[in-house]
Amino acid sequence: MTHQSPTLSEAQKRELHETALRIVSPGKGILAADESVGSLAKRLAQVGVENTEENRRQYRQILFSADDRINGCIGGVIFFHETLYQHTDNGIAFVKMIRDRGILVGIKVDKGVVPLAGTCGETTTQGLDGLSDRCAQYKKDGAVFAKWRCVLKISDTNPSKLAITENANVLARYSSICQQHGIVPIIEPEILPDGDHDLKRSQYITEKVLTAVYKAMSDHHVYLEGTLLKPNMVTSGHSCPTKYSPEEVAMATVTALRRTVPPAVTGVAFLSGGQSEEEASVHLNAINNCPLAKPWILTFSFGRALQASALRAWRGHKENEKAATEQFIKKAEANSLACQGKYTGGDNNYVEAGQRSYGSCHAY
Amino acid sequence: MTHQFPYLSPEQKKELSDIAQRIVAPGKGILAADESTGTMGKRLEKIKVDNNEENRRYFRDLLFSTDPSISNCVGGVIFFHETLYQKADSGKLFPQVVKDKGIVVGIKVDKGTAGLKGTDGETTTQGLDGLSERCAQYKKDGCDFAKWRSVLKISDGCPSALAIAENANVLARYASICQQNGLVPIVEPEILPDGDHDLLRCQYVSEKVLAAVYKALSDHHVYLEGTLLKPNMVTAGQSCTKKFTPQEVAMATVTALRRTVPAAVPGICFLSGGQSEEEASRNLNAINQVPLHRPWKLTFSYGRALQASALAAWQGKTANKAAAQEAFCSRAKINGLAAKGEYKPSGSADQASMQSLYTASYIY
Repeated sequence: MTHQSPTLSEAQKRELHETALRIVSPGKGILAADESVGSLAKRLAQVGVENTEENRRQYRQILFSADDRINGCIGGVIFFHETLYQHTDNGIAFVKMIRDRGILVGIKVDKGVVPLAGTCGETTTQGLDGLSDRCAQYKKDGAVFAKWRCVLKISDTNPSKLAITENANVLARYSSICQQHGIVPIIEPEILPDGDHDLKRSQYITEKVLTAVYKAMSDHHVYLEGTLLKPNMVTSGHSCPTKYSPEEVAMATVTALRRTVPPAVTGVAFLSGGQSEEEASVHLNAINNCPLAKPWILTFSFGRALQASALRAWRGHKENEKAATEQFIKKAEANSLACQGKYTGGDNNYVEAGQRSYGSCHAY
Repeated sequence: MTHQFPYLSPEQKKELSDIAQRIVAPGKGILAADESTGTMGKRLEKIKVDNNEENRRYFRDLLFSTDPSISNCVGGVIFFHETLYQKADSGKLFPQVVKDKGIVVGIKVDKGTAGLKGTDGETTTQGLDGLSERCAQYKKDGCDFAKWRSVLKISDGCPSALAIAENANVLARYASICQQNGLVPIVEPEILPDGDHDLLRCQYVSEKVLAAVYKALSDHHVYLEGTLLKPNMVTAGQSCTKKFTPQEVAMATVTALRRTVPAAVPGICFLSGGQSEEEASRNLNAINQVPLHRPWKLTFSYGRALQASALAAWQGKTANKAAAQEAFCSRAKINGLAAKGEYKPSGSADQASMQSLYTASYIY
């Protein structure tokens, strides 16, 4: 505890920090296109498309073929392993396609959740075995950042102390290993929105979880400037009867982060969870307009909230490809505005124009 | 871990937050005049003054009755218990004298260090017994903040995991009790400068200690916006052969804080430790010029570094009172400027050459 053994050289630290900064450059966020085969199956089923490797390739191609308009909106794309080695119809590697436009390539490296016996349905995440070698290979294959998702849930008894500490610990181990290979770890401790808990409860739990995460990061000697955080926004549960304004969500979210995320963390890129595309953008916008001081970049790492419309427009038909890509571009542009606090609302007028009140921060 | 139980109302939170903000208002810091009887004895001995109650009263009167303009650079004064109930020559109680100047009154509440068996001379700090009742009384008697000092040291085997965890825990208990009684807790985890360790070692240890402190504060449900931190600056040990510039000290200090202190903490008021008055001012100034984002106020909570010249000028003689007050005011003004990064020591190199030292590439 008292002597520092070498972890990273100056050059390694600089590389990690600069990579993190590039991913979350002003106006940019992350496209989470790392749905596993199983997850993508659910998305494709919703639009009546069969879950084959070819369909998955075609779908990702629709996203990656977006024109230069996304260059100022997307700083990084998270890939699933299969996708990292796929090509366009013309034989261009997806990785090359993305990198050539100055967008950074990331890779999901966890191997899914596994149950924690003795808890009420809680999980940890596996994937540490051989992770070091896998990271070395991914770095060679073009990836400069990684992502690992842990999952916690809120219920009368959850999250338990074990779930919090165990997930914080694996996130820290994963981060430490990634950094050794010049890969920026995105740390994702997702607290699911399932349940009827209110905004305050979500905030309270988010604060406890994030504090544990950063204590574990410190214990594992992780270089914070070379990491990114991918948390849930603080929202009430899906079945909570009280509805909260974007400003309330923003205030609760920013307050929770201010109490737990060290300023040294380069950026916070929110997951969208179960939110609709519009909801996610409106919330991100409110977060960036929150009047509390925010020492990190606050941006997006959206999956569904960037892709839902594109998927619906495509429905597996080749003739819809351009229209689908256009939908994705529109969402990328909307979120680019939102992460700068300049989004004024989309098609369904979720947002009212004019000055909105954020209320007193002492109630949070 | 999952349900939040009531601890502070929004009104209580606002009161604590407002007090903290007033203490660290721009350009202001804290006069630590809370030397215990024994410690005051050491100071008085140096100028051959008898350590009796009247002399202690006289010297504190000298400081507190100084020109009212002192309130431009002093936001708070920390009292020792005895002093809280003493009077100025004018007959007014000291807390009232200080409050009349618009300065917040604080009180040292710890009862000194106690040995940790099984460690290499490490300590914890006592004073929790009956602390709640004492705080309630101090609040009635005019105090709005408190201070508690924990001590750690660096050596081959120190600080141990126990010393770090135990001191973090008592600091959190103290903080929690203070807030229940409307007192803003100043959290002081001092890492002594004794030793021959270099700057990097001190930074490493400071990061570990502060990470543990903020984890403990979270575990004890302390409202961070209603606290202040009083840490050591990150410096090399006093017998380290290598010397470091104020810019290096500043960079190491701010880096350590960015990695550990949540943005919700309104202010960080450094202790001066063994530094000379000028050293403490220059270092604070350099800290406020570091080109990294600093989301908290960075100011002073100085004892010796504000009083040494005044004591030397006084020499126990009434005739020297004005000169002593002048010396004190001078240091206070200088530190007020240093807290804004605006201190220009005469005879030092100009701004441009100071600035170039920051672009040195060392990554901490």
